[in-house]
Amino acid sequence: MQREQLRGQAMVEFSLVVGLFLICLLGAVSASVYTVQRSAAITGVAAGARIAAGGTTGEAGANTPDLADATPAVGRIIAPVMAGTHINQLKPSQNCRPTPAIPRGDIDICATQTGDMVTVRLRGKPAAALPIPGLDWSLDLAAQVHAVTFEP
Amino acid sequence: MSSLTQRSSRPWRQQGQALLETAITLPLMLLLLLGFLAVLVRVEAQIELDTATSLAAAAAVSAPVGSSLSSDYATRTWVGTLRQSSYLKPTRLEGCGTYQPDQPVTCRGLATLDYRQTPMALVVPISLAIDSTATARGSRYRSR
Repeated sequence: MQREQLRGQAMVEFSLVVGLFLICLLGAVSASVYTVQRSAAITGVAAGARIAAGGTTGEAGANTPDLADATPAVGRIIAPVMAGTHINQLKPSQNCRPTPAIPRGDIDICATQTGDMVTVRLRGKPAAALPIPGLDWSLDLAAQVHAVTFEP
Repeated sequence: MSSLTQRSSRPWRQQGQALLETAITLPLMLLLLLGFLAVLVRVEAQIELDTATSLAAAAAVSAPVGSSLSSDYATRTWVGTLRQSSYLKPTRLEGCGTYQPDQPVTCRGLATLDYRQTPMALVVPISLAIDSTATARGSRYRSR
């Protein structure tokens, strides 16, 4: 009887320790995935901002920021690391939704112009990240660049 | 009698031992996790600073040749990109002087990584100064 009790106690202890270990392990894995996603997002918005600031080749002219081509460029960079996440490429000059209004698994990419500055923003909550209480796994990144101006 | 007492007290002693082991292991595992996250935050902050400084250098060479606007373009780009982060505070941007044809422009960005703005403050309750350098060269085919 006493041996059975001891065995039961060991099992309870083991399950507790394994549970805690798994929480820590999943937390570390989740943080790693989030870091990869965040790095891709930073690279993406920077690339998008460079494209937007460069100007258009069309009728709009070289001094008009190319906002329309910025969001697809960001989307191409982040798509491989955003498994299961819906990426919304918003229309030029349309602002991203505020973070609380974006459901988990959705990401907004928007390109806007304020004066002579161009901003490409990525905001949302990736689906692959495991939520951990106390840690905010949402993404809100932007790159702002002074638009290139060409003089005749 | 003494053997009976010994036998009956054994599980209690073992329970106490298990409790002590858990009390030691749990904070250690938590510290390990937070330490791991702190390293990730450090790497992430460096990537953000590198990106902002690189964009600033690119903006500097887009200013008209010989104009003092290079520094202004670079600073606005650098601050505009870095201000999005709560734990990374821009300190100052050095260099990014006047752009001249065929001359590279080098910018050095300094920022403060404030761990106290993150849950990792439990492990590293400090601010860390980090820096990044980026160089850009304008297109040879620019008219001015």
